[in-house]
Amino acid sequence: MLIEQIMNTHCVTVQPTNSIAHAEELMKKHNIRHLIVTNAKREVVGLVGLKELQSAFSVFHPERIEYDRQNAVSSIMIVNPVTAHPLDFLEDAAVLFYEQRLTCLPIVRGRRLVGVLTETDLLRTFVQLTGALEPSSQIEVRVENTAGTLAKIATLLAKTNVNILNVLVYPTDDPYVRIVAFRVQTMNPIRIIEKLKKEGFDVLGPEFGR
Amino acid sequence: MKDFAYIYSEEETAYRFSDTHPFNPVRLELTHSLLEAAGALEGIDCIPPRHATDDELLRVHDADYIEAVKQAGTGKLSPLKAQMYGLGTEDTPMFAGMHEGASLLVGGTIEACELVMNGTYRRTFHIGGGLHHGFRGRASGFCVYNDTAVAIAAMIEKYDCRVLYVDTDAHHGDGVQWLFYNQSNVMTLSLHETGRYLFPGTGMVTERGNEQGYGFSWNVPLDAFTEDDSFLHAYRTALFEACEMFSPDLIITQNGADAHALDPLTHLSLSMKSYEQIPQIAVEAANRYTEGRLVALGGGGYDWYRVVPRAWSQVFAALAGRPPFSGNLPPSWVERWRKESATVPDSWSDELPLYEPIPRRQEIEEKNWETVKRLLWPFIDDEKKERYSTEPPSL
Repeated sequence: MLIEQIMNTHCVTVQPTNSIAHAEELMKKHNIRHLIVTNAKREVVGLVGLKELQSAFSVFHPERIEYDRQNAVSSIMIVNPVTAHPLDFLEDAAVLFYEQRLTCLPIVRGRRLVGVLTETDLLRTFVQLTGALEPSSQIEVRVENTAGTLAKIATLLAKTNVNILNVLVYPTDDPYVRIVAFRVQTMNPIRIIEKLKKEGFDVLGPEFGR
Repeated sequence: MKDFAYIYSEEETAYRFSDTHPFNPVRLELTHSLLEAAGALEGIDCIPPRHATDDELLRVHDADYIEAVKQAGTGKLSPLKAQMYGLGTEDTPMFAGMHEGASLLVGGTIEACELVMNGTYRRTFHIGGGLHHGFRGRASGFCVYNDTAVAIAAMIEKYDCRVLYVDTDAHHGDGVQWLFYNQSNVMTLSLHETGRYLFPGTGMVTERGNEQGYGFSWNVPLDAFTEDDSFLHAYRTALFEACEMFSPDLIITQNGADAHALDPLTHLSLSMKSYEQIPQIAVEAANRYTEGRLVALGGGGYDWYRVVPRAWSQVFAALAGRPPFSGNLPPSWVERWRKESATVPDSWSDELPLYEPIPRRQEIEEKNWETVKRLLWPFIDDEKKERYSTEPPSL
């Protein structure tokens, strides 16, 4: 999946010379936590988040807050923030967020702003990837981590004429064992589960004991 | 005003996918014959359902979907097109007369609501209704048309009323929830097994509604092996809080009987104790908050012989203003149906033990009660928060 498939193209921006007060208002109005700072050519020159806004004032000098709010955004912004390209992979972006502890990633072509990706967008995409938003039953199978296992299960499922919406494979404590989770488009997964069990597969269900 | 009417006709058994399909109309025959054998129908008004009109269906469903269902029922829908509408699948296979069968169930539910809202009856019960998975333009989870949603839309249009929909089926009432997700005059409350394994996978506490509808969609996802006490505590608490907050004019309950320990599809481990009390508690809530106005519907339930007829008869008893049935089942009924299945029980209550003791019981009860609190927290005052925080997870 590419960033351009999930990025937000409606970006709220400020100019470096705008006041901090203006930036604050914009965030409140749009209910967002970041503003991208662009110049007249719509090139990204900075980023302002809630954290930067908070650092603009000192609680020890409350009398100065109104004065400080008139300062320019450029005085508090992160200069030349980490950016990505719309054709970058989603996985790469996720690693950037994780390693650099980002919360917001401006997407640029050259230096021109074309979109924005936030933590929220990443999470939403992840939820979509799990297939959890479409009506389906989930079947989890504990399998050995060897070639051809997925194909065997999929062949069995194909014979039941049930549509697979989604497949996730996740690791366990044992490196030789994986859990394959299928989301199937049926309310009655019993015949599928029975078929899998008959072929010797370890189908997981709700834990009865500990 | 009369107290109670029962909406049913044999014609409703025409909603039949196949002999082996879990959603089988034999459930209606079993229930009706049990009520008959128990002498429960004497002195009760029994009203046959009518078909819903296309105009009524269009309040909720897309025109092209209705057309597709009609074509499916006459064998004219291509398999490729059928797929687009969720038809011709294992869950909702096409069958002759599909549109007529499905629209009769919708008409029955509209009638059930109309008779209560126009003041003819205080309470009605339509066992053929409660097809809560139906979507605007797509069949899902054994449901073609969403009878409840169509009826709610009709009542709102005619009476400008506030409707509380309460769903105790083991599966999340997703169809009804999503169809009114943006509205503040319909509140949905669904208690169901979590979506970890179970269809449809939705129904999290965080699904609270959108825009004006925010706060009017309530979900209580319960852990597998919940059992009666934890379920009833969650149900009673959420139901009365919903009534308190929403002040409904009408309560509609969906009485899926598939959370029972014997049900093959689910894992909630309820017994007949829950099915005796769920509808009695609903009547209590209606008497307190809606001047008694209550419509009960059927729903899921896949142990046809042991669970469904008894559970739905208990709904009948509650709505007729009677105590739950108890003692032995009518021998004539038992004899008749044992020819079909050796599992037919002798008694209104379950033969115990129904299942092995559940080792994680305490943990599950705690988890469920946390879920109820998480649902209610934004809507209740500090006094109640304090009370619920100190209340034991199971009463």
